[in-house]
Amino acid sequence: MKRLPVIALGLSALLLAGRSPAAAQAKPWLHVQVEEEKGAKVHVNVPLSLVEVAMKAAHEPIFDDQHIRLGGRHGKSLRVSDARRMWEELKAAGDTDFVTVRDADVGDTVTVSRKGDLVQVRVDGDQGSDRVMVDVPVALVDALFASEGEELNVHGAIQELSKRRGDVVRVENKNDRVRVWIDEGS
Amino acid sequence: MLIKIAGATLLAAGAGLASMDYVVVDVRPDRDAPRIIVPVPLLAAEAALNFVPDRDLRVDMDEDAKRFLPVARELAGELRAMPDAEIVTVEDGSDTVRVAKRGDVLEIRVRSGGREQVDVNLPIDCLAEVLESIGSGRLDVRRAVSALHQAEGTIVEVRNGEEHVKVSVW
Repeated sequence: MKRLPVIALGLSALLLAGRSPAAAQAKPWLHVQVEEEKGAKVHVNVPLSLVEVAMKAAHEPIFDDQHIRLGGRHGKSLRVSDARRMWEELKAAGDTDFVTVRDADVGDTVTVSRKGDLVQVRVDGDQGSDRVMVDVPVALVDALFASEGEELNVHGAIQELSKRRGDVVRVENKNDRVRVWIDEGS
Repeated sequence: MLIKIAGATLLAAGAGLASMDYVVVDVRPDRDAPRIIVPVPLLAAEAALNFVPDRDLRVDMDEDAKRFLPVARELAGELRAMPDAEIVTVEDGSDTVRVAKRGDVLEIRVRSGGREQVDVNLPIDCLAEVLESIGSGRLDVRRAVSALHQAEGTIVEVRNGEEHVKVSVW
């Protein structure tokens, strides 16, 4: 259990999603798998409907006081309306690389880009040792911001997430693996 | 005639006792100590609670817990509706935690270092009833005890080396 940040990363990615089209009527399940080479293995399998209910409990601490709180209650915050404006600007830019950061010391390259219906976050280590892949469907972020003022539409975002099948988040490095995916099996 | 009435009364009482729900607490402090088994008829426990003042049977919950009550009730409903599944599995060295849904029961299994073992079999109906019994942020002990009627079999079993505690409802 030494690598709680990795677990937190996996779980915090519940809101993020990716690419495949909507499945028919079958109920979607969210799976989280965190495996450390010499440590804990955590597997979570829950229906997405249960995640939606659980999100209500998380809603207040994360979206407290009409702000998106980053880094906990005492962390920095961003007004929802400002985040919505930023998102509109980014969306209007179309397919492009928003951010590319190369850290020569560590050897990591971080890219955030828009590719069609997805916003993709990629982190690639120097010799393929570290890999992070996060795919956020544009429709999901649209749904999240589809409300007025300082409100976030978490229900709408989960509905969008329920249309997805396949990997949502994948993090791999030398010692740890995190995978978040959605399918129709328990 | 009197013998017939007495016999019928005894039979009725026997049948009543047999059909009653019992909470059985089984404690074995260690290998050498005597084993203690306490069967308590649930009806008797409920009757005994009638002699406890109301104010002592209502347990106030703190504000944080109150806020999460509606969500907890919804979660219980979702748990009831979902099919059987391994919900959470955590393995860390010799420690494991497993939470699963099997039928109407939420199973929690904790193993630690090969010595400690906690098994909880929580009937989801029982959980829902207890959550419903917490009206405006106050746990109603009477309703919580009555909720045990929904349970059957071993509810909690804890082993720590030679120590052993088991709570069952029959």
